[in-house]
Amino acid sequence: MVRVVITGAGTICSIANRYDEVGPSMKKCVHGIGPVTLFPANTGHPVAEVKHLEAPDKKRFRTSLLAEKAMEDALSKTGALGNRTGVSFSTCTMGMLEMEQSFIALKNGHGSDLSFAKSLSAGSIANEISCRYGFSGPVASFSTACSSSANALACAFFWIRQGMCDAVVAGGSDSLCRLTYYGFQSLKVMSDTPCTPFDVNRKGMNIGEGAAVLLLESLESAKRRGSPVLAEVMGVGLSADAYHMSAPHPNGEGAYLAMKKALEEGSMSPEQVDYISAHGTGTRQNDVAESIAIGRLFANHCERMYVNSIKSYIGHTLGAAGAMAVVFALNSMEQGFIPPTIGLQEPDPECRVLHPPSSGTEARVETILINAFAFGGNNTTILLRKFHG
Amino acid sequence: MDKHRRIVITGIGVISSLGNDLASFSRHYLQGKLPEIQERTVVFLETAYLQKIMALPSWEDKSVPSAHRRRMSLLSRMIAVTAMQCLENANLEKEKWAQLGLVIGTGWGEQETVHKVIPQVILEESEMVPFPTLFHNSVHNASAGYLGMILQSQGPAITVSQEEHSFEAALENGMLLMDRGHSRAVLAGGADEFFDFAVLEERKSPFPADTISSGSCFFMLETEEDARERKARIYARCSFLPPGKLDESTIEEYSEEVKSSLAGGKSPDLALFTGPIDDRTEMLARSFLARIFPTPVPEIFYGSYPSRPTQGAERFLESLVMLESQSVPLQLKKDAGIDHPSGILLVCLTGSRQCRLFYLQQGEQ
Repeated sequence: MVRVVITGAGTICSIANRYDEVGPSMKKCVHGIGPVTLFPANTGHPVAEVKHLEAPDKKRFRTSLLAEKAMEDALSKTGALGNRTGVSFSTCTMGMLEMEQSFIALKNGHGSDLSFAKSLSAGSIANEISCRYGFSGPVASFSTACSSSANALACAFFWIRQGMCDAVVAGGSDSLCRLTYYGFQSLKVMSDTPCTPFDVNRKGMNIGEGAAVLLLESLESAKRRGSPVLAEVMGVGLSADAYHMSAPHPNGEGAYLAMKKALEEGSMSPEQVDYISAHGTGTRQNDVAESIAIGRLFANHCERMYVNSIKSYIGHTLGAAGAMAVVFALNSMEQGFIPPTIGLQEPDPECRVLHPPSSGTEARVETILINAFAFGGNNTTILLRKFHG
Repeated sequence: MDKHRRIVITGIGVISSLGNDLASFSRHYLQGKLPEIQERTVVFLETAYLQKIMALPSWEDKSVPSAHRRRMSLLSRMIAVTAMQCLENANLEKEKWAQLGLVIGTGWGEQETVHKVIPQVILEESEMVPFPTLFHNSVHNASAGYLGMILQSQGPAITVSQEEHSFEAALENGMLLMDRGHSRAVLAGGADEFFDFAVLEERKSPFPADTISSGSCFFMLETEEDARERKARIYARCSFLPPGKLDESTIEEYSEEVKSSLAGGKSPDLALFTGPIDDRTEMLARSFLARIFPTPVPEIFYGSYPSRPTQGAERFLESLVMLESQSVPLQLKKDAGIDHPSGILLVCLTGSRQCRLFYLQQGEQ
């Protein structure tokens, strides 16, 4: 069996402009949630924006620029990659922000030179990456809403396990835009304060933006190239709720299946998991359903296994969320530190999981489960383990 | 590469400009019938554009429960209907639906829905939120969500959107799910709906020349073992060969990799090249084929740019029709000099010469 390891990680989000900045921000428990500045907003719902991101070229989409920054970061220490490198990427918003601006210009009688085809293409970023870096492996893009980048990672894992690639650049990128900002408001799930997942007084979610990129590699390739290994990917779990378009199954059926399958693929038992990076959006429906699923699968082990939500730091980065959670998880593993869910003061009694204390906790972090759930009842879980050679 | 499971196609569903079920599609394809084209005026904001589109035949969608149907976009309904056709055609027992894998390829996704949402969120003068149903229907995987609910399937549900390789990447993913043991059976397909933004694509002329289309094709993938056990009709065996890139610097290594994955198996009777193919690509493609197979393989180039990103799904279906019926359209017989293909190699290319290869072999042998 081909072992799959992570040998590079990069990110840009509201609290970090690169991977190395994530750990310190996490330890300081700072969040990057504040007012919208990217476009005029008529409501007071805060978001997690990436600051000081200047596009060198006005035709460059913000989502694509975010992806490029995370890519550069992820590959900054990895050395040259071989021909058999694939790209598995994800985005939901693509060039939506720029397209909205174009629509406004057209509506006001001005011209627009935006490439609508490119701005709408979920696959264009992956193609750009593959061409820019001269990779010859397969290219695929996933657009499954908030689980997109977790599915991109799952595909990368399959490609390497199956021997189709030696390495795969995998991740996701999404920028803020009016469509998602007002769209989530239409579902009445947006909080007017920084989100506090799992708190009994939570008000909902904040959307965010950013990009996260991981370099997955076969262990053999990593050894050949002398790459330092950040973690091993043990398994992935994929499932569907078959319940509702925008609400999770109330008992977390799909979430339970995804976590169970990931453990099965990794041949690991629930008792071996030290920490779950929850999807944890901060909506009651998600938090309760996810907690029920965790309780069902992990039973008494819930008393010893921490659960948190990084969305309290960087908001919900939608198509980038799954890969972003992996980036944070790698930092936790490296530092032996599990950050708290910021703002969690009074845990919801319906969410019977072990929350880290408010300043975080030093802990043994050998094995981490990462959850990413989405519209359409789409659920994906990634299982990571510290690499031991 | 790890050994693949033997995967077979046991069901087909189709809505296309050549027919809205397998029988009519097959008949029209083998007769060499050309799809009907109509002109349609699209009004985008205040400018009128004339767009040529391939006429989509009328189709019934009674198989989709009305509670879902009234909320779904045309794309989602096409996908649901072809998926149901496919399941019916495959005669797969209902108890197996719960663990089905669903893999949908779509290049344009729900852009027609996005087109309806955007005007609702760009009003600056007031607080305006879109209709919630429209919003959750605007994500590319809305169809997979609806289909999962209709089938009550809790298996993997993946939506791939990789431009002109959306279907091909979806099919590859479906086969990977089976290879990796995540699903025993997968519904995989490709679908796209003509959308109004498309008229603005790379052209600001009010009379764009390209003809575009809507359509959906789905295929039931099963392991050969399972299909034989339940005595299912097998349209073809399907293997995917290593994907790669066709360029001067990689062609030698890539063709060797493909050759070794075929492990001396029987050469195909026909190679079909799909995607945007210029002279340079055609030359590379011929050289690639010659390096893999010791004896010349008749080849056909579908050189035109696809009329929709998932046009490749129809090329895949055409190959299945040829293998199943043991006949080919007259023109193809003239061009390639074959009339009873038992093995077809589909070489699917993109503009940047990314290459995905599927080898289809006659099923009932």
